This record gives sequence, structure tokens and C-alpha cells, in this order.
Amino acid sequence: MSEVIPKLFRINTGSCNGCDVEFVATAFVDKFQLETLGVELVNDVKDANLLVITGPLTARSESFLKNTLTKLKKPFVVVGIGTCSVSCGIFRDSYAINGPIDKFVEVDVNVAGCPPRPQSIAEGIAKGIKVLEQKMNGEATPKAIDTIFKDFSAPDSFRGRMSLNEENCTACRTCEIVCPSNAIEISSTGDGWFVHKIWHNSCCFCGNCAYFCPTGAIFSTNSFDTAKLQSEKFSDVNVGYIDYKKCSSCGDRYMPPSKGLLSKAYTHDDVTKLNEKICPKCRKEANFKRMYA
Amino acid sequence: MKIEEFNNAIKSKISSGYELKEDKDSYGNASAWIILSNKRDSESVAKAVKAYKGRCIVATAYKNIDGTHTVIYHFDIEGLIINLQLETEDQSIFSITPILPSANWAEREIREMYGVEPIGHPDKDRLFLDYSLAKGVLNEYISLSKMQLGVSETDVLWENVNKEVKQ
Ligand code: SF4
Ligand code: SF4
Ligand code: SF4
Repeated sequence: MSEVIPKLFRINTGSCNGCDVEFVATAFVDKFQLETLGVELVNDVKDANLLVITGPLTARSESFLKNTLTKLKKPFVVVGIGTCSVSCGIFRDSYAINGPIDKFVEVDVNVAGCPPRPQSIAEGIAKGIKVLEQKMNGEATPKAIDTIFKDFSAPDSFRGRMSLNEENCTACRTCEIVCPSNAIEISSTGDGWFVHKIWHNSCCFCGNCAYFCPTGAIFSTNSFDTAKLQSEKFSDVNVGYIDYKKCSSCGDRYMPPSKGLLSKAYTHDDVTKLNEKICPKCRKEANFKRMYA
Repeated sequence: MKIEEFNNAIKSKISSGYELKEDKDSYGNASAWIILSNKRDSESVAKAVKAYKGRCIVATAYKNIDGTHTVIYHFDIEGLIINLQLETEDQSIFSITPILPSANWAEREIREMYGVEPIGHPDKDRLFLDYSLAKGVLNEYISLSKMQLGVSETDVLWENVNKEVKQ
């Protein structure tokens, strides 16, 4: 196995600069350990074998990226930093956006985050170097690489990858509508389930969904493990299943009130039980009969 | 600078009439609105602003439902804000940049974002918008609800996600 010296060149394709600032922090602050990877920053793309790209690829920057790519010598790896580079994030569908970058270049590693934490950036570069070693030795890119730096937990107040507590979710779709980066999709299976998907590579970690969720079902974790291989780009999704219950009396489907809401309204568990098996219509009828029949 | 003084300066210069409105912000800062009947008169107002050593801060434009455009220049003379409003039916205005160079970028921005041509503007080049995009990008109406749920009719990226994620 030959020794690989990663030579890093960075190109900004219309990033807001947030990612670039985090990248600079990653590169120059010792604790993020970029140095331990033996990375050399080069200022001519001709010398590079590790291309780092930030930004959603604006129309203006397309020619710059294309021009840069013609000068790169194989083998090289491409690491996209920031949700913008992976899926255009909050800028997706804008008239001036031609990205994401993988339309124009074969990307190897994606680091989601808006911007990502330096730990994730370092992890993404470390994974990129692994892929580079393999390319240089003529091996195929693996389907997954173990995490290299391990610790991705952010401070408690930090918004990391979003997660869902299915028990509390009523598939009301509020989160889907308030999400500025179109990272949430709620669909129905047609046979009694709603599927709630959070696509981490599109999320900008704004916390809007958690703020507006009426039941507190969606929440941010403090994990920032977002450096993933390109093969995981579309599968890094948090999937939740929400039971669209069948009424034991009339057989119609109904959405039971969420445990989260009930626990806010009632202090006793037995109220929750009343709602367990029948739809609101049948419950009203049953109550009416019980009182007046 | 007093609104009255400025009004006296432009009164005789404006040929087609105008409406003057006075306004105050929550801090008590005065501002004036000059609403022109004929867009041609913008040059006279610009000349008056220049004579008082004022500047163009920025300009605003929008497309009306009937397809016409409203353009508003925002001037500053010693802290007094003067908003000059004019209408155009044919997507053109008379550039005031030859009189007030500070209007240069604002007019170029209106040209590329709304396709409203500032006639007589010294600079024909684009300001921000890439040449691959047609000018007038902000003329398109996109409803808020459509925007919130993504404007693309087919969201290719989500289709890929749904291929990977089994239901
Ligand atoms: S991912 Fe976020 S921080 Fe990074 S360039 Fe895009 S908008 Fe800026
Ligand atoms: S996570 Fe919250 S906001 Fe989103 S669908 Fe579920 S209950 Fe509604
Ligand atoms: S935090 Fe929630 S609302 Fe914000 S981008 Fe992520 S999924 Fe969307």
C-alpha cells in the first residue's frame, strides 16, 4: 500500500460562507485533528487530489467549477461540505441554482450541516482520504466506512440531527410545511400507516419543525454524525411510522390523539385509555347513548 | 432639510403633476413621498436631489397585477428620506444615473430582476444575475404555499430518497 499525501483544494460554488468559516476553523484549530490526517492545503488545483466543495452551485459559479475540474488530475476525491453542496438545502429550486454539485462531478463524501460542525468536516475529510487511498490502490469504493473520529455529540443546547417520536406524532404535516429546506415528507401507505421521513441531507438544522410541532414529536438530537459516503446520500433518512388506526366499532380509519397532547391535557392515564380503540365519531355516539338513551 | 423646502424646489420643475405625502417613522424621522403622474419627471426630481447634495440610497420595484411596474427611488438629503414613486407600462424608465451616480447599481438591479430598462443608463452589463438566466426573474409569481412546499413540480431528489427508503 503506497503512502498517500492528501492535498486539499477548496472551491466555493456560491456558499453563504458559513461552511467556509467552519472549514477554516477545522483547518486551523488543533483540536479538530485535521493535521493528524497529514492534510496539506494547496493553492493550485493542479497539485490537489482532495477537492473540497462548498455551496449550492449558483449559475455564476458553474463555469468556475467546470474549469477547476478540468485541471484536476486523477485519482482524486471530492468532499462536499454543507447541506447546500449535498442537496442545495434552503436554496433548492431557486432560479439561480444549478446544483447540487453531483450533477457536475462525482462526489465521494457528503457532509451535511448548515454549516456542519468542524468535527463532521474533519470526519468527512478523513473518510475522503480513505476513499483516496483506495482509489490510488485501484480498489473499489466501499459501501460504508466506519467513523474515524467517533465523537459527534454536540453540547446540549445544540441542534443536531432531527429525530421523531412516532408515538407522539399525528401526521398533521405542520413540520412538513414549516420546513424551509423541504427536508420532511409525510406520505400514506394506503393501508393504515403514515410514513414520516426526515432527510438529513436536506435539513438545515433550523429547529422550525420542533418549534411548531404541536405535540413535541419531532426534536433535535445532539448527534452531528453527518459525514457520509455518496452511496448513502439518499438513504440517510429518519423514518417514522404513524399508526392510522382502524376504529373497532365502525371500521373507519382515524388518527388517535397523540400521547404527547393527552399528557399535556390530562394528568391521569385512564383518559388516554378511553381514546384507545374507537374513532371520535363513535366515541361521541357511545357517550350520547350512555347519557341519554 | 425640510420637506417644504424640497417641495418648493421641485414645484415648478415637474411638468405633469405629482402628489406629495408626508410621513413619519416611529422615531419621528420625517420622510416624503412624491408620486409622479409621468415617469419622465424623475429626472427633474433627481436634479433637485443633486442640487441639495443628496444621494440615491436604493430603489424598489414590483410588478403589479395588471402587468405594469412600480418603481420607487429612495433618496436621502441630510437625513430626510424622499421616496419617489413612478409607474411604467412599457417596462422602461428614464435613467437618473447620469444625474445621480448613486442610482447606478439600483437601476441595474431593477433591470435584471424586473426587466425594466433604465433608458440612458451608462452601463449595459449585468450586475449580479448570471447571463445564463433571463432578466426579469422576479416578475414570476410564485404563491407562498407553493414556495413552502417546494416549487419544482417533480422533486427529483425526493424521488431518489423514496426509491431508497422502503415503506
Ligand atoms: S450549507 Fe448552510 S452554512 Fe453552508 S453554505 Fe449552505 S447555507 Fe451556508
Ligand atoms: S412531527 Fe409534529 S408537526 Fe410533524 S406531523 Fe408529527 S405531530 Fe405534526
Ligand atoms: S430542523 Fe426541521 S424544519 Fe429545520 S430544516 Fe431540519 S427538518 Fe426542516
